[in-house]
This record gives sequence, C-alpha cells and structure tokens, in this order.
Amino acid sequence: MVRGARTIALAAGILFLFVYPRFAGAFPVLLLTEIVIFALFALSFNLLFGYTGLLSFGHAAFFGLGGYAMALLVQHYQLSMIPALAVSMLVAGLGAAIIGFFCIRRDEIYFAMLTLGFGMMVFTLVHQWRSLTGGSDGITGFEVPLLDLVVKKFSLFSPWAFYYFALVVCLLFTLFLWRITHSPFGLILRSMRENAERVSFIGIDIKFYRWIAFTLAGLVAGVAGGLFAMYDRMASPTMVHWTMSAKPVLMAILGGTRVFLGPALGALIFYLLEHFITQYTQSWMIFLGAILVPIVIFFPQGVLGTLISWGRRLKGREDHGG
Amino acid sequence: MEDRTILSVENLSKAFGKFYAIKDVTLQVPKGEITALIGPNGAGKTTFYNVVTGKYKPTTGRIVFEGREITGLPPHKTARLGLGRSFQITNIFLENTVEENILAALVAYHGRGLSLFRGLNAYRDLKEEAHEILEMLGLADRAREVAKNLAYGDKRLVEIGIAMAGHPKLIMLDEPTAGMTPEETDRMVAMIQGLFQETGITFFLTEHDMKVVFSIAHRILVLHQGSLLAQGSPEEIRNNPRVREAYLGGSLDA
Amino acid sequence: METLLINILNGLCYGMLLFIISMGLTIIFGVMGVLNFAHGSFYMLGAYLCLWLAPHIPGFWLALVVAPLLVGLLGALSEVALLRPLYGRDVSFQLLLTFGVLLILDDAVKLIWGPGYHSMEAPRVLAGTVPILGSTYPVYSLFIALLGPIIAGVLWFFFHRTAWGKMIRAAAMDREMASAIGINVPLLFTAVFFFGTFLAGMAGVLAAPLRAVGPAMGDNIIIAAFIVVVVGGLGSFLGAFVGAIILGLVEALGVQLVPQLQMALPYILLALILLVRPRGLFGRE
Repeated sequence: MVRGARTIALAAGILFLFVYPRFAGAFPVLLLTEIVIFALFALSFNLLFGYTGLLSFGHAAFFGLGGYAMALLVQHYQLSMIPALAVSMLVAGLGAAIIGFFCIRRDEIYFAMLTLGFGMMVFTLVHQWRSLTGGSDGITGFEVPLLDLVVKKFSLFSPWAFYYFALVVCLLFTLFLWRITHSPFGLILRSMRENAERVSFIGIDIKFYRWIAFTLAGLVAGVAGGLFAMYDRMASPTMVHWTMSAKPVLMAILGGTRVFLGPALGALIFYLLEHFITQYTQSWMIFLGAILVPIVIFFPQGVLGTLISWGRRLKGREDHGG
Repeated sequence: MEDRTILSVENLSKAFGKFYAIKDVTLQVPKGEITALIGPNGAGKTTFYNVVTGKYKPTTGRIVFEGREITGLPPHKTARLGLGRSFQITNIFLENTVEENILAALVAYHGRGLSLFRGLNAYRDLKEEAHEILEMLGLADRAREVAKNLAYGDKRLVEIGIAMAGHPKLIMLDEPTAGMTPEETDRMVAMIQGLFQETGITFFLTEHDMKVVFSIAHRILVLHQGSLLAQGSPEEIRNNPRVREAYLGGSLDA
Repeated sequence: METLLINILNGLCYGMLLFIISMGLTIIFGVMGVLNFAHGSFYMLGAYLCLWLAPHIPGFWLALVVAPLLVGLLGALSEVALLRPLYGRDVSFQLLLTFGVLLILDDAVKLIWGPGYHSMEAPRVLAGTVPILGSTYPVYSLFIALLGPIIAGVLWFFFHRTAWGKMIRAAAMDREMASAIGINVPLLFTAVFFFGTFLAGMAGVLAAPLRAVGPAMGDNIIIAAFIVVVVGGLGSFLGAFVGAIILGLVEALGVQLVPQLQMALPYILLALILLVRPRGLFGRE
C-alpha cells in the first residue's frame, strides 16, 4: 500500500512538474527551475552522504567547476548547450577525481574538513585567477546557447524553454543516480556507510569505491552547476564558497538522507520557505533557522523519511487490524 | 606436510609501542579441520587475527596462506584470497536488510561491485545464493528484516553468513559465541559443526568457552601473554601441565 | 624588515584571538563530540554585546566580563533546549542544529543592530601606538598578543590544577570513561557548552576594538577556527594553542610573502596537515 501510494505521489509530482509551468507566469517558472537544479545538486551530494556515509563540506567545488566551465565554454567557444554541458560535467568530474583522490584517505569529521579545505582552495583559485574567471565579479554577459538537436535548433532564452530543458536534464541525471544507488555498486556503498571496516573484510578496496562515488557525485554536481550558471546568466565565486556547500547538506538532511528523493524534497522545502518568508521579511535566515531546528529535533529521518516511516507504521497497524 | 597446512605463521610479532601483544608466534593451521585458538583474556588472540587478516601490519614475521606469502596485505586482499573472518563484537550492516548483508559479500566475491547500471534485482543468481546461505543459517524467513531488529544470536549468525558468502578457504571466527545465552551457544556450535560437515571449509576460531572448544575443535593452540604456549589435540591440551597452570587449573575441566 | 616584524606581531595578535575561540570549540568537541558551527556566531555576539554594553555599563573592562557571561548563558540555554534531545543521534544532526543556530544568530544580529559594520575605540589605557623599530604599532594589538599567553596560562592552570578542569580534560579524552567513573554527564555538557561559548564571547569582545564588527564576522572566523582545531588535533588544548599561532602567522606572513596565494594558504595548510598527520599535530591516533 505504501508502495502504491509512493508510485501515485511520484507520478503526480512528475505530472505537476511538466504541466503546471505551461500555465504559470515567469516568476514561478524561474523559481521552479532553481528548485529543480538544486534538487539535482542535493541528490548528487547525497550519493556521498546518505549512501556512502561521507559528509562532504566542499561539494560546491564541483557545482562551481561545472558552472565556470559552462560559462567559459559558452563565452569563448560558442559551444551549443549539450556539448557545453557535457564538457562541464567532465571538467567537474575530473576535478572531483583529483580532489577525491586526496579526500577519500580520511573519513568522518576529517573527511568533512578535507573537503572543506579543498573546496575553499577551488574558491580562492576562481577568486584570484582574475584573467580567466573575472575574480569576484565572476563571468557574465554571455548568451544562453542554443539547444542543438541536429534536426532542429531551439532557443532556450525564455524561462519556460530553459525550465523544460533543465527539468529533462535533471530528471535524466536523477534516474542515473537512482540506477547507481540500486545497483550492486550502490549496495556496496550503503554497506560502507554502515560499516566501512567490515566491507574491507569482504574483499572490497573501500578507498577505491569511495573515490568512484566521489567522482560520480562531482560529475552530477557539475551538471547542476552548469545548468545553474546558464539559469543565472553568471558564474560567480559564491557558487564555490563553503556556504554554497552547506546548501545541499541542509537540503538533504531536511528532506531525509536515507530516502532516495529526500534531498530533492528538501530542496523544494528550502526554496518554498525562502520564497514565502522573504515576502514578509528581509531576514529569512532567522526563520529558516527557526524552522530547521525543530525539523532536526522532531524529524530525525528528515521530512520525507519520517513521512514514509509513518506510512509504514500505519500500514503495519492496518495489517494487524485486518 | 606442507600441502596439509592452509595457514602458516612464522615468528610473528606485533608491538604497540614497547608492548608486544604477540611475541614470536610460530604455528600452522591444518587444512580441513577445526582448529581453536584459546588463551586467557589479553593473550593476544584478537590481535593475532587482526595481523593475519591484514588489519594490522606485523612488526616482524611471515604469514603464508595456501603457499602464498600474505604478510602485510590489507584486509580486502586477504579476503579476496579466501581468508574469511567474523568479529568478536557484532560487526554487520545494521541498517541494511539481512539479505543485503549477505548480498554485499556475494557482490564482492563475484566481482560485481563495479556494476553500476544494472539493478541489484536483476542478479537472480546472487539472490538465489543469498537465499541458500540464509537457509543454511536458518534465517531465510528473516531475509527482509532490517538487521538491527534481529535478536543478538541471529545477528551473530548473519556475521557468519557474511563470512561464508565470501567463499572462504579458511574461515576465522573470533569468539563466535561471545555474549550468548546457553541456548544460543548450543545453536551456534551446531551451526559451525553443520557448516563444517557440509562445506569442508577449514575453521579457525578463538573461543572463551572451554566446553565449546573441547566439543568441536580437532586441534587446539594455546596463546599466553602473546606467545604460543602449547599446541596439540584436545586430549594433549587437557593434560598439558603448563596450560593448566596458565588457566589456574579449574576452568579447563568445564 | 620592519614590515616583517609588524606582520609577525599581527599574526600573533590574530593567532591569540583564534586561540581563544578555538579553545572553546575544541573543548566542546572533545567533551561532547559536537562540532559547533554556531561558535563563530557566539563570537560575533560577544563583539556586538560589547559594542552595545560598553557605553551603558561604564567601559570596555566591565563588558569584557559581562558580555561573555551573557553569551555563555545563551550557549548553555541552547545546549539544554536544543542539543540535548539530539545526543545519541547521528553527528550530522548536531552539526545541522548548530548550523540552524548560526542562521538564527546571524540574522538576529542584523535585525537588532542593522546590516552595517561598526567600529569601536580601544579602551583609553590601551589607545594609541608605540614605536617599534622606526614604525609604530597599536598598543591594543600588542595587548592582545600578550594577553593570549596569559589566558593560555590561566586555562592551563584550570585544566591541570582544578577538579573541574581535570574532569573536563578526562571527559575530553574519553567520554565513556567519564560517565563510567560517575561524572554527571548532562551537567558537565551544559557546563562545557557554557564555558566554550563564554570563551567565544570573550574573543568577540577582545576583537571588537580590533576588527570591524559586522554580521559576517562569525562566518569568516568559524572556518579559521575549524582549521585551527583540526590542524592542532581535535580535542587537544596544546594543539589549539600551537595551531592558532601557526595559522595566525601563516595568514599574516602570507600577505607579505605570497599575496596571490594568501587566501588559499590556510586551506593548503589544513589539507597538508591532514594528509601527513591524519589526527592533527597533537591529536591522538
């Protein structure tokens, strides 16, 4: 029954994502675009955190690498959308492979600190390398490239067009992550989260597997970053700063790290809260904090995780009653 | 003689700072038997296991497994060579289901860990094998249970199941009955004997409970203060005066 | 040559501030296992309270006592009300909760004191400059650089010679043992959180005349303090002292010697130390 309810909710959600924007104004569509992109970013983070047990505090590095690569490719080489996004993904993946090579040598809090350190090194790199990155101003003034589907070229200039493009890309990569987490590889990752030492005694080189997971997570974060740079018409150092790394952490825990779509729901909650609260007051962070604190205390598995376990309990009661 | 030996340890020492947890131990574990490593608390049994399986690097000495030197190899390599082990404290994947606990080890053994794009459910062969192992352990009906919800004795069985799933040539059990009730202990002893008869795998276990040791071991090694005190058949060990002294008499009669 | 000396003094001065903050952070981590993200915000709060109190209760010196006490009380209160339900849960929840506290404090400060930056005069006794090797140097900075070791000495005395201090140290080494030998752990945790945030508040007060008081000051320093405690070794008091001096000097000398890399230096230091000595300089393996 829970499974059925889940399928219905999922189908309704996807239907909503496709249908609603056709009837919505520009502002909600823009908001939704940002949500979809950050949902993917948070999901990619959760491959490391929820599935592998590694809390990364530098995930923005790969979001930013993707964003900067995208902006540079579009500005200097006039690549069209898909090739540019593909190259940005590879750049971020390469960055993750290099940084991950060092970070996976440690775990727990030390891993978090190493990722923070390397993430901020990337931040200072983009901040200081003015000739390439424009320093603190970032890269602006480029046109959103065309979507070249061989048979036809589409402009992604309008918010609606870009939204649908971003949505399809994000859904595809969400599917990619879902596939990974439900594969034998995903089982090994989850086992490492539970008990990394034990995994090494069943014949798995845990560092190698962590490294692969780190690289994959960076790859997908790069896609999200590339999309975000196009959405924002800008690649700026804030994309790489540690406060950006904190966002997926927040979203994932908010939504639930042990449920695949938890971080995506977390992204939705995060943006809806921001949107509604900033209508009334400038200082929305105080409210975010005030909402975050009880959620952390009362929803130990995150919002989605807790909802699902309520559903299970309800079902258990029905089964016993019937 | 050599072909009858599955594990051979020569002059093995492990020091932590100045303290020698294991001192110059030489011993052989014969193939196709159940060997027990006993010794009072702090004798260095667990350290010995950790050095052999690669968790710690030895300070000096050699370890040869199936004619191949494995000294200092990390755990994932010794495991792949066929050295399975269980742990003294329950060391399983608590938030995963019982089936997934076994499946993880099977995935590792069959080299499917890097399969990223095919669903786990598509691996019928692995699922069947996991089912067989759970059946052997008497846990088949708990397969979908989250492991942390199992009773203590069942968790210990899962622990053995993970080790078995790696198709080990030698399985090293570190105090398989630690913390168990008498009933659970009896079940575990029957399980070990059953697995031994069914699979013919060589067992090498440490054990506290002398009743267990003398009822299942074909051969006993005695570790005392990091050194090998004696080795022999249960009968020889029972009558060895130095062993009796180390155990302050008494408890060997249990 | 003078610039080198000036930079070394700047480094020591900044290092001593970092030390006081990091000390609180490392005690809280050592005893409770909580990496307190809000620690920088408590520091910031100390600075704002000083700014606000100093004109009312006469003077900086009284504020140096009162403001940290208030900050510590708020810290203790948040430990009891917010952190306590989370013990025994995954560490990430505690991290997230302290992050929530950070968000609240940062915006609360903006609401109360506005988003702009404030500056504050050094107390009269310590105003002005002294000549050093032909150039001049602010007395107040010198005062901080000298105060640091004094505070370190007081803390050393507290941790090695008093019953409470020894208990905290024992608990920081081994939490399970602490409860095993009958230390009242909930009370100890509250006391430790009070003490840790008290130190953060005190660092904030001391920083008020030195650096611009603004809403971002906490976010900037918390990362530096994380680096200090990780480089020094989580839970290690000596580590916090040495780590703070190293980081202070690295930042100050970096400005002079490798200006392009200056911003990256702390992170390079962090990564290098963690890769070479996984548990930091004075951490236990």
